[in-house]
Amino acid sequence: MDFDIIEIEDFTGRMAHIYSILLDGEELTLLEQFFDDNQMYLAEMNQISEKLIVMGNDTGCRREFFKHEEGAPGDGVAALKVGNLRLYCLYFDKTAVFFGSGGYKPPEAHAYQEVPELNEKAEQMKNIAKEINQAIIDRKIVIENDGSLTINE
Amino acid sequence: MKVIKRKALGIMSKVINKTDSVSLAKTRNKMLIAAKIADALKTKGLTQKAFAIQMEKTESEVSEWLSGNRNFQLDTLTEIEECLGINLIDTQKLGVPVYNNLVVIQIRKKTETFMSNAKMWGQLDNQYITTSKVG
Repeated sequence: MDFDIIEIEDFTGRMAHIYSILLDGEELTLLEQFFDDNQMYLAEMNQISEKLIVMGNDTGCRREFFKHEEGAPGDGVAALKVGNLRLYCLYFDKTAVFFGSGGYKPPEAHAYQEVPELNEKAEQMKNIAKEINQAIIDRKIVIENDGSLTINE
Repeated sequence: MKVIKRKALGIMSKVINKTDSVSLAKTRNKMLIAAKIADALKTKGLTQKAFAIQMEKTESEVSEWLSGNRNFQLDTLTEIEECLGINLIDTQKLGVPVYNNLVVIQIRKKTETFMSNAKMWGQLDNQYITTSKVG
């Protein structure tokens, strides 16, 4: 899977860097696609946008704001929960989070695996997390203390 | 793989540009209160489970408190303050004067003695007296 990492200037601030993923050949990042695909949930979209602004500028991406262990053991895949929407991400630490996409989780569903559309987004995030984690191990991506990224080709 | 910094596009850009300042302030306060509670738990070495037991709540409810989504009731905040010994509600902005470590108690009887304090705090209908030291 080829992709670039996009830092969203509107969300990044003095407390955290907010990233998303731009898949090869796409115009919009996965986070932007998430907003496009779920625009019918306007109140939740507003809340998610506000939460990302606050994380970037005021609180940082504190661990307790996310639901963890949504992916494979230890891969860092987490979800931001707002209402019935789930937004998947690779949680690095309070200074850096890589957001993918997500979707609506019906109240009657116990796990995202029961909802095919949501499961697809979670699996996509797991695959991206695998590549980013490997790049971090190989020192191709270095995440600095402030959450900024350095790419070593 | 490259890292590119840019502004948001699509619907996300429109949502960001239409951000309401009051709504953003509400979200910020919810998240800051959650952060303050989480910091207090860490300082006290309390797990979410132990805190939930002390508060007579479920662990999932405490987890929801810390998620930054919770619109707390004032009574719940007061209970959390009492449990953790922290200050979540800033009542000092009411204009009640606090002189260093002195506690100030409001009395409703007007006397000339306290008029100067009342004028200083702009509370012409109320008077305040200092009674005892804290701690």
